[in-house]
Amino acid sequence: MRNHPRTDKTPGEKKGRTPRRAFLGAVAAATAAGALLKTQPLFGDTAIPSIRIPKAVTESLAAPPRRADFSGTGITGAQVFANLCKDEELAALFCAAGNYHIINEIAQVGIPCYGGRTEGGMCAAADGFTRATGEVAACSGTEGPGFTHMIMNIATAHFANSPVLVLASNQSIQQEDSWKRIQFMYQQPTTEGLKKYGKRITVPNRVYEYGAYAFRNLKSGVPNVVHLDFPLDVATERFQDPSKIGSFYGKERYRSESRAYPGSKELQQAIDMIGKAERPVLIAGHGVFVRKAWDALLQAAEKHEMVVVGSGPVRGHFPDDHRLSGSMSNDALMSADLVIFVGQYLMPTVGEWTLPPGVKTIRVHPVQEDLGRNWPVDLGIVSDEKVFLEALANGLPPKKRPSWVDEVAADKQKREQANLALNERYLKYSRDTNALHPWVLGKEVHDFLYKGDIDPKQTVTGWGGNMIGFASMRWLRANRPAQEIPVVYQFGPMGPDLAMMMGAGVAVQRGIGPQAAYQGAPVVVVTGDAGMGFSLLELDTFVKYKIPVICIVYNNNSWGTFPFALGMNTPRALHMYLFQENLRYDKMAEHLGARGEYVRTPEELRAALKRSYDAAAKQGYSTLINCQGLMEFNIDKLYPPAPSFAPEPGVGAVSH
Amino acid sequence: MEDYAKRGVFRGFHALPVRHGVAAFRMIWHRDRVFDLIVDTQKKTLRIPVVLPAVPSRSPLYRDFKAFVAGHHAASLPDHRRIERTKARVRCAHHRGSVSLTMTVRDGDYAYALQRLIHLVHETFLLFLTSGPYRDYLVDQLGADAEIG
Repeated sequence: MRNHPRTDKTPGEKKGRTPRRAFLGAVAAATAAGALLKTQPLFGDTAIPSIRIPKAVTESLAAPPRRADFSGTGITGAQVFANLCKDEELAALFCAAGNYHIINEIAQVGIPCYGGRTEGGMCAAADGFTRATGEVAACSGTEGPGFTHMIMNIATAHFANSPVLVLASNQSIQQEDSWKRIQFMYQQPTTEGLKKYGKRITVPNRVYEYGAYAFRNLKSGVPNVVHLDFPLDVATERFQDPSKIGSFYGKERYRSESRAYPGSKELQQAIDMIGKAERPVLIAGHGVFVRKAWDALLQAAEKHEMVVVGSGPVRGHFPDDHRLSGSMSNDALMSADLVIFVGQYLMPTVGEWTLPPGVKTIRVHPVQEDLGRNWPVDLGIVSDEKVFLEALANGLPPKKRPSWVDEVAADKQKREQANLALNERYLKYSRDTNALHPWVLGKEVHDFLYKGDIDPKQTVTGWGGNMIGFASMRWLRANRPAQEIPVVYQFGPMGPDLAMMMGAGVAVQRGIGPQAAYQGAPVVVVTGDAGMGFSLLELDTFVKYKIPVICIVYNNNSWGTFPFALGMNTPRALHMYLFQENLRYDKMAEHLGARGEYVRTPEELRAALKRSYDAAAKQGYSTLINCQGLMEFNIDKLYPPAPSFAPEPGVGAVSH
Repeated sequence: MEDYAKRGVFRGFHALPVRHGVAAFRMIWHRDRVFDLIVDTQKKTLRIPVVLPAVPSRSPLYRDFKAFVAGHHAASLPDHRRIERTKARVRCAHHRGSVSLTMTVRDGDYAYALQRLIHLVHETFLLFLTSGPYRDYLVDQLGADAEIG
């Protein structure tokens, strides 16, 4: 599906009624007039102008790209770097204004760029883009203040093994340590432990060399964050002769696409172990997604009837709705007699996951040093994930395991029934209180996205938050690669949910990688009111770039962690966890140029979802649905059982 | 038991002094808690005296746990998961706030009974407690972090 182009009018204006903002503007003007009547002349009855996307945005996006070269006045360090990014097919840049030389040249050279409201939000967007596509994306911020704003989301990207290129300006070398100018800081130590590679580029003619370092690290081996900081001296240095630039040769010479192949003996050993196993489980880690190995995975699993569970910061490289999926069969996983970890970047420790104690284990990983970490292995194989799965698919003989498949299917059915039984109880709570229980919200979203008129593989979702997160994790599904993004994966950040889905929305809008078949579809994010404090203003960015999102906000008037204040018997602490009640995030959304919906019942939510999806799919509008809930639903003694973590691995997993 | 220890299932595994023909072992296992395993060949039992601490005897948790344990004899379970009554019998008991598990060996196959007992405790922590309405218990009694589990 594709978006219909949006005009610069707001939803209310398009309906032909009196523009809401014009009305509000008149009210505001009248109020101001009353206050100032005796002392100042009136402002007049001029309406406050409507929200609109500036013409300059459209014109700027349509401006022709330009690649700088050595002719004339030469090429700057920033342009050298931008050209390198273009040659490396950097998929997107997300930034807040700052680091001007670098971001301007990256935009000018023709790389898709998006400017948002905060550096942190744009870093999350870059992470969301990489999770939705598997491609490298960059984020950028200005020197100290902008760069430090990104830290939470740099860390989030790091623990998600996202190949995010973090760029930041950093004053000039000539004035370093002089206190002559503001905003200088030592950036690289700040990202220590949060990156794969980082460098403050201090020698101008090495800008290309270190750019190559960056992409070599981003696109080789196990991906992760790379951080470059650019002093002004480097970004503005001019070169009129290529010979003045060090290591100035193309990507085909500064990095390699070579991959590790499994040894034939080890591969045969793995095939024998799998063949002898009665109940094998293959854990398909993030490396399977990174290497786009989902077809080989499917082929191997179906040929030999292995049960598969996907894991990692983006879900769907093995579909939840596949008959061999064990993602909702944690009880049955305890029956496994062999576990094969493939591309599991962050290994669980023994006893964390629902796998039998002491189960035989094969681990396949591209880096030898990680084999045996956290989890004892019977067979460790150094190999690229895709190469291994292709070899496995070729080497395994066809086999049927009907009793094992039935056991897993029966367990999945049991869990689905348990979820529905819980929903009945929570539905009663919702009706008794006239407030949405988060579980009921999750169930409604589930039914709308996967059991209604929409292709259940279409919509990319993201979710976060505490109380709402416990419910969303149980109900959202991934039926194809990169369909679900658990924002809180591993690092557990609160708040970047909406901003991260900005990047995922860009990926879907542009139809990149696994999103190609669903280009232009809306994205959905389920988040909490606490998260609004971090990301709400990025709704402006969605609207500005015409990326349709449906942002479902569970509004329980508090940080979901408020039971900490009660559980620790510290009643004087409770106020710190609470917000004003009944805040209208839907109204705030309207004032950012999006649609707003307010719901308190499942029926209202159902109708709002339909309206919002229609508006997104047909007109490209974004909507925020404010779901009024109740914080007390998180108190086990009042409304048992309070939602909690899902067993891992599988649906609802947030770690490893 | 040593095989489990070698595979990292539990830590600090060691034997305690034998008393009156009763062997005992100690290890650190789920939630970093100390577990004792008592092997009484005269009574033909394997017993873990404290599987779940601080459980009120009339609580829903204890009621549910009894059903969970009894369910492991169910004929509907696949062979590889069921505790076969002709080979061993499991029961839980409540004593001074703690819940214990005892496996009675009926056919002399201690290896079978031990394997099923270890799996049962493992499932208690990874399936029973996490799938049921026991968040407060996990946090208050077993030291789970309410934010991260």
